[in-house]
Amino acid sequence: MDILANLAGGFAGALDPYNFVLLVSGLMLGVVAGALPGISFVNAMAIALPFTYLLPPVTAMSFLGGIYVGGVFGGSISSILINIPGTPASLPSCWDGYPMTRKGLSSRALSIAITASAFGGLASALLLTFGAPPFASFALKFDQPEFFAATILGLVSVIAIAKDAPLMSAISMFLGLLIGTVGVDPMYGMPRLTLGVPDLESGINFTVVMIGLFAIGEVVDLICKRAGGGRSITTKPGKQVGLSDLWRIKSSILRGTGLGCTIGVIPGAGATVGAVIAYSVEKQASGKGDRFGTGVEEGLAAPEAAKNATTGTAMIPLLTLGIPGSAATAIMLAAMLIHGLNPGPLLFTSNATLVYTIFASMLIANLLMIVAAMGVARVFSTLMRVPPAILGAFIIVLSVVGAYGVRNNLFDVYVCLAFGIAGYVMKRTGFPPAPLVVGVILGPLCERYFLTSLANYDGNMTVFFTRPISGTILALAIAFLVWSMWPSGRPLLRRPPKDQPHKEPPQRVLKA
Amino acid sequence: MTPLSHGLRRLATPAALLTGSLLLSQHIVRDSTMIAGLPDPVGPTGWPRLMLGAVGLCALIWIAKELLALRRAVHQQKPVDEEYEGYANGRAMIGLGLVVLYGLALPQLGFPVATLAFVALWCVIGGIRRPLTLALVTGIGCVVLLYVFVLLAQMPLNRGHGVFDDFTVALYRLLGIY
Repeated sequence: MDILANLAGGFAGALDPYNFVLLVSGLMLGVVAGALPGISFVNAMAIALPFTYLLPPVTAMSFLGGIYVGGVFGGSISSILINIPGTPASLPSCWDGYPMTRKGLSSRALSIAITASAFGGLASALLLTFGAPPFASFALKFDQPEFFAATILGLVSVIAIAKDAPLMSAISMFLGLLIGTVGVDPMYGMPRLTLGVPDLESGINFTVVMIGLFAIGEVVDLICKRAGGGRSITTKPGKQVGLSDLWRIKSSILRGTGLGCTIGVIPGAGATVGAVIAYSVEKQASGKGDRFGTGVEEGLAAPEAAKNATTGTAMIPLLTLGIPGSAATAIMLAAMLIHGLNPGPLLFTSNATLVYTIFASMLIANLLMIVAAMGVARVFSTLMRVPPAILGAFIIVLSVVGAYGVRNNLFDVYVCLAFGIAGYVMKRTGFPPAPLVVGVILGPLCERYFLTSLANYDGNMTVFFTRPISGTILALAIAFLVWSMWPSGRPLLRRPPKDQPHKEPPQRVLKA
Repeated sequence: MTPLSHGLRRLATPAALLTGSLLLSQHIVRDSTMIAGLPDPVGPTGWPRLMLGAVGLCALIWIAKELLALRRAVHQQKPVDEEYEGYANGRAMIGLGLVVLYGLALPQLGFPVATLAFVALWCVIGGIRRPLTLALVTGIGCVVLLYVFVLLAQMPLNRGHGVFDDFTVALYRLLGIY
């Protein structure tokens, strides 16, 4: 078996002392960042990204993979212990996790959450390991038009998932695509949208945009929110979890894992969608729906398993087609591009060692997460005592240094700060930042595929629709777009009945 | 606030986006005569123009939605977001201003001085008032940052101008970085 031989090589790479230390460091960093309310693992990944310049590609990807896996779980620690979700995906963990803590079962709740998360993450990583290579073999049939179509599908799915705010997501994404065009164009070498600023000729670096949007804006917001005082962590250990207890909730864990793995593959869905859907499904399937919200173990296990089950499968479209499905995978894509690695089917043949090391790192990270999460949970009360102002100050300094380090250029710092302000404004006005980031990263790739397709096929625009795979993917993208934009367009086409007030749907936007 | 004035205020953002996209579409390249002779129908301006068109179209849909809501004369004020109850808007403005000042001060004062000042001020804004805590956090934190980035990562961080440059060099010597 080729896969097993490659995986053995991957494990050798992942267990190299240097890589392993950074994988564990990333995992710990992710769990800590996820556990601290207001600082998500996406912020941590964005801040860490410029520092991966100093690392070899394999080590950099292991490090970021560690932050990703640890961070997705980390948010549940604060959800369970103090009823504050550290990440949006950890919200369903509050619903039954915190009631367990109030009953004096915090240790039991954490053990269930960690075990379910680790199981979901491990299953997902295995699916990534054995499912991605066959998918990549199929993707070898792709030419430039197919890659263009796949990129378009990735962009559209970002809008599609934000069912309640498709217009905002679309504007955010198109602005991102526009920012991606700033600088010298790839075909003629002509400066575009530089507005006479020479520094803009080298373009706006996506790393700088990401740091600004995800770190600075978030930190400013953090010091302005009213502190949630009066919360205390129940330190009573409660009844410990045994194997028989886990066996009793195995169906919930398996259902959550299955749902998470499936949802993870869909670009744009991510951990939040997976966890919420898993909770809803479990409420119906467990037979205990009427008691959900009072501290039911199944209500905690299912979303926890689903949340981490999205991590591995979300990497499948990223590695095989270069489509990032979430802010976290967009940062992983950025890291790959920084190191000169082009994700796609050819990566599996030209850089098999790296790919399988990533797979092995994901598997190891999910196994190690049990230890890392237990450790962080123990010292969590100490971490919670660090004032947000101190954390925020150093996050901004690290962001500024990170932005400067991208090209040792002060102009990048100014761009980063500008995007920090923009990120804050976006957060307050309901503009989702994730589509903008995805647009900035995928924009240049999308344009390059578009132009090279036209150059290869004599400027024939119909080539995107006449080639079977490309046409199918584009048809899917159009269907996705119409489906997602329909709620926005419908009020324009329909006359409302008299005396019925027009209600705006609540704004739900795509998050990490 | 009347529904009309509220609606007009809500129209400002999409109107600005539409105007901006129209204005930018005229200034994609500095000299438009350079593209006139290109045989390629798409050229260097094709893709950005498409994106600007998409932004403009979305802004138009947004405007249409707002006008429709305005015509129905319905209060569309967003419900109070619990997340932002008791939110310190003034502190946010000061925080943003401080972030901008930090960026501007970096080349003038140099990284060590600007960072010390920024961390201390940020902590004060964030509600930390004890002088000992402030001194320890800023002092130890900044020294650790200097060791990590200047000594280990060898990053050429700004040293500032004039007297600040001299101060930074002296500080680096004191810390054993130089």
